Amino acid sequence: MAYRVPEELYYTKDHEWALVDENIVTVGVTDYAQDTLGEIVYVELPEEGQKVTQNESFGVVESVKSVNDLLAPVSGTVIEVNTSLSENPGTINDDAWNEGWLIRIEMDTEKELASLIRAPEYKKLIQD
Amino acid sequence: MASEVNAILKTALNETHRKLGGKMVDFAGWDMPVEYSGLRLEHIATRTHVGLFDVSHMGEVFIEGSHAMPFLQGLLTNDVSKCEIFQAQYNMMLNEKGGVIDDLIVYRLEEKKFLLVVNASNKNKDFELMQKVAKDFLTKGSLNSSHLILEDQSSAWSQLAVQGPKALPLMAKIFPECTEIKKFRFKILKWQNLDWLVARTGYTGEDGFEVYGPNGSVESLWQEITTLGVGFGLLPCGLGARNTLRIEAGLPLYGNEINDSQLPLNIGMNWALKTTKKEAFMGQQPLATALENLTEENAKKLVGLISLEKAIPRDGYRVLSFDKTQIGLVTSGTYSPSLNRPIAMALVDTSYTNETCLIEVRKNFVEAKIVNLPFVKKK
Repeated sequence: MAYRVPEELYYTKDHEWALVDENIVTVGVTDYAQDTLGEIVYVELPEEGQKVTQNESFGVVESVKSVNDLLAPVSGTVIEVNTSLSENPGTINDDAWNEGWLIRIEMDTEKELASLIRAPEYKKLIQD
Repeated sequence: MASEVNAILKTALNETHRKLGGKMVDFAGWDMPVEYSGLRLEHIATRTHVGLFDVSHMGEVFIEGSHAMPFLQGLLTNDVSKCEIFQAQYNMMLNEKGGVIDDLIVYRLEEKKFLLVVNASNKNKDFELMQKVAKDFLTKGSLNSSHLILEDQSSAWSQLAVQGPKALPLMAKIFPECTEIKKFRFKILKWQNLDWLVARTGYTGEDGFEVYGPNGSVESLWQEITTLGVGFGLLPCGLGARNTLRIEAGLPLYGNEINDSQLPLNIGMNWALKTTKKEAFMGQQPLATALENLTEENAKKLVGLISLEKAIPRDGYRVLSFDKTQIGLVTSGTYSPSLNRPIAMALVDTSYTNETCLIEVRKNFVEAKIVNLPFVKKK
């Protein structure tokens, strides 16, 4: 199965995506991640104002099958949380790239973006 | 080459699963479908209509000979002499400490011929041990290999499970005599001039059948069931639904409710532990001692937990009283498609009599209702 991997995004090897708009980073999980997890039934997200650290867990996504940590693509402060997911976690399955976004982070330093991967490398990762 | 030794195993239906769009995962070294159309749809289809599962990864060991019965009595916990021809019986195999090596179903094919169906993940370990025990058994009794024959035929046999309220009318179209098979009984029935072992057993809590047959013909049986199944609301189901169905039915799974380091006490299966049968079985002594020493204070009970919040309790999570004293551990947890709530099975102190408790989910404590198993009863 071929998964869509938008060119403009940054990716973690743990299957989070990051959309960078100046110093604001919107974070979600990839289409590959939601499909592998199966039906998502619960999401645990941080509160606004909470600090997150690159490569560390900022929350949890649970499907019927498993529980998985969500890793922050960059360090910074959470400025917005997609609270609609607490009632409708299945939005992540339906629209992982848009409506299924998780949090927005005000990032501490752009330097951390260098350790994220881009679409071609991510595509290769999920093909293996 | 290690890569050849560890090559992933495939059932005879592997191509069929892929064509159906099955999402394939590595399960105990087997390339198996975890879901096709979606775990929830498959689960609900099995509860309301009928589900078809490929469970050919399970192991099939045949045991035959004049001394098959005394051998099995010494190997297994249940009283195999009570199992009649064409009857199936739940059993466990214990190690010397009383921990569980595996749980399995014995099918008595003839007076002195048995089929043992074991877990895929334990098959090699089981068969090696059975061979070792058989060798000692023969030596001790001054017998030879003609008295007891063990054969691992796992790679030649396939198994399909057809489960749900519509399993009977559907299967009657293929095997008309299957309507006469009672629960935990089986018959050898013909289809396309071949013998199939058709058993009224299952692992979903629903009525249904498990059908054993040769690899070379299972594809045509699968196609026949799915073609006829259209009129019965059948869906092919993956291992994901198999797990949520068995949790709702309160059935133990090796690795979760039972394992090799714990005595198999209090999981609702004590009826299969016949410590008073004539022949001593492996692991009987520690088990008998533990059963004798069981008191109101130290006994545990396998119960159901229904979480009142959204996070799912997973195996290994602690169960606590409201003053945060540990009273048990979660053994299996999932999201229940039937109840639309997170549920779990847990081994909890019987001395705890409250109707609610706490479960430690990561750094939070969530409240849960304690219920008797199963969560879902057959309609």
